[in-house]
Amino acid sequence: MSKSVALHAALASVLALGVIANPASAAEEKGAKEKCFGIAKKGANDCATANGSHSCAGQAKVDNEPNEWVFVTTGTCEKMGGKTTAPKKG
Amino acid sequence: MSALLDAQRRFAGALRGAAGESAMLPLLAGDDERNRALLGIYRGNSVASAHAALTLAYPVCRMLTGDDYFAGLARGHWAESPSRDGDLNRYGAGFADFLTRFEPVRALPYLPDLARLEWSVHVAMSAADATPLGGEAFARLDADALAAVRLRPVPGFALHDSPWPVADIWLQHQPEAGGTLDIDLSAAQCAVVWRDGFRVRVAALDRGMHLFWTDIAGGAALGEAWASASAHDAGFDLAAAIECALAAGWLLALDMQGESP
Amino acid sequence: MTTTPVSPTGIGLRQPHYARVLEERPSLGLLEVHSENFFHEGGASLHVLERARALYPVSLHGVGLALASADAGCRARAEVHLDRLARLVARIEPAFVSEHLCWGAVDGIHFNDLLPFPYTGEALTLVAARIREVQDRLRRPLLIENLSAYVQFRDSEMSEAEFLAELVCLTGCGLLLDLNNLYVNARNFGFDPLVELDRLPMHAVGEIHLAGHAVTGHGLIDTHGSHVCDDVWSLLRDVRVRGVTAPALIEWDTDLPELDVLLAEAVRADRIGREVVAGLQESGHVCAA
Repeated sequence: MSKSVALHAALASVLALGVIANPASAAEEKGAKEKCFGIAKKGANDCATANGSHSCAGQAKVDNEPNEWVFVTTGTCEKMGGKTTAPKKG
Repeated sequence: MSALLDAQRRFAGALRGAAGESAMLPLLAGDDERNRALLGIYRGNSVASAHAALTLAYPVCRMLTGDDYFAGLARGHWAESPSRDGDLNRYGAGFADFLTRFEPVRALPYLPDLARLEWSVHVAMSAADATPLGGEAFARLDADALAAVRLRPVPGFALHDSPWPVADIWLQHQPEAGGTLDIDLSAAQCAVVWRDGFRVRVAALDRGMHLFWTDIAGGAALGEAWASASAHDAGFDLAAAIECALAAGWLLALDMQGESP
Repeated sequence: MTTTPVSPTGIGLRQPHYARVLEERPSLGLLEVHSENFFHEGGASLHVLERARALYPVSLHGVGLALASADAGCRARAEVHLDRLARLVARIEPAFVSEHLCWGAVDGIHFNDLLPFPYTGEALTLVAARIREVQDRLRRPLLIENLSAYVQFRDSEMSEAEFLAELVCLTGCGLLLDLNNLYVNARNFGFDPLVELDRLPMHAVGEIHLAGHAVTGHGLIDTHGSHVCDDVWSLLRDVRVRGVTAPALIEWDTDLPELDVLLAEAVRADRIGREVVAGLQESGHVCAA
């Protein structure tokens, strides 16, 4: 099958889809259903977003600049195994 | 130089590191030792802001490393690339590049690519709202017009190609995943990020689909994108690709040849 | 004889309270958010704010404009920031737009913090010009907030309140009077908050902030992480006695409690306003407004 024949076959298959019902709707309609305030993330500019605080709220801790940070993982990476070399791209 | 600018430069020096405190102290009223401690509080605020911003943008990276390790990464990134914008939500675009250079992260080689995926998720979250294209847009076309058509993805749509299973790692760290991890770290993965209503979705994508949508997102005509995807994957199914895009809501508009976008 | 009633108190709206505020619609005079958190093209946060705006007056409280930054390069970058703010203001049509009397960026670095500077004539000229630019762009007055500062500059030629009073004269801006900040500074630097309060033009006060602070070995730190303290409630009474009817707003950021705790603080602020107005009426000390 030549390239253009193959392309036309592929294009025909798209046209044969007909009018596809579109389940993805506008953000507003979806939001009404999904409760946008459940999805909305915290804003980084709110003082004290994560640990301690910042900007309009101060944090009551003097920064003593630890220059020797010990990088010991305590997260979920251990559960994924300790593979350290990238596999070849497929 | 203006006295005000000079004062702000000295203050900045004290915020970037304790070594900068000495140049700032002569400008301050009161006891030097007390002022050193107070400058330390200000310095702590700046580091904490950066940490807070990165925590919000990179929650999965933080889950993977644990909180203390992540705090160290945040400090390292802030030392190298502090914020340049008055909106902290924009801080952290360069975190993945920092991770690729940061020696301790070599033990977690998938982390930079995961950070790239998370930044796309973060950006998609606040991308413009859009009504995705419906299937009727294709019904009006004949085959020649279809081959020449250019598809514009919705705001926030992003593609990733990683030697690591980044989509699986991300998906299995979401609250709805239930906390058990079943990840084959030897599997390379392509991923797509998009906004579905207000929710950001991530899904794995096979290589042919990834090539096709990368070309499309880069402005290629449908026929050209089909050709490069088919060259890689003889079984590439154009109808399935379009059907998937319409169902997921990836497409914003369809530009005909000669139309200015 | 009549007095203007005190405007009802508001709260800072933070993400953990979005659902309850929007669904239960508690009686509040004002909701305040940090402007920068809504500098988005779209998405859920912006939609939440639009829904909140449909129910309440909204105050956009900025933390990133860095009005006193002297570095020309950073000021150029701040134009982008101002563009984003102008777009949000057009979209939300807020009751108030406020910023802090601070700097934040120099030589390309933004510290995303509210940093103090020496209150000098040079600074006054710069900040006044900047406030005028912002007001011209937004086509509305800004409310400028007094800062909680932990260090003081030797070269300051005036107090913060004197500096703010000058700004009001020079630019027509209003004031966001943060009573906790005033109190924290008074305690840390050893001055009488009422003396400083009396340097401020009360007619310009458009909003009042109330918050809690932490007492540490380095002095009081404005953490927004606890109840408003008794001394600050007393300052609210002093401000109301001076005829200020502008709404108070409860700010709580660190260790954010249940919404009810904030609502109870707002009720207390409302009660103080009512008591003072009633007392003034009884004694006949009513300013002819």
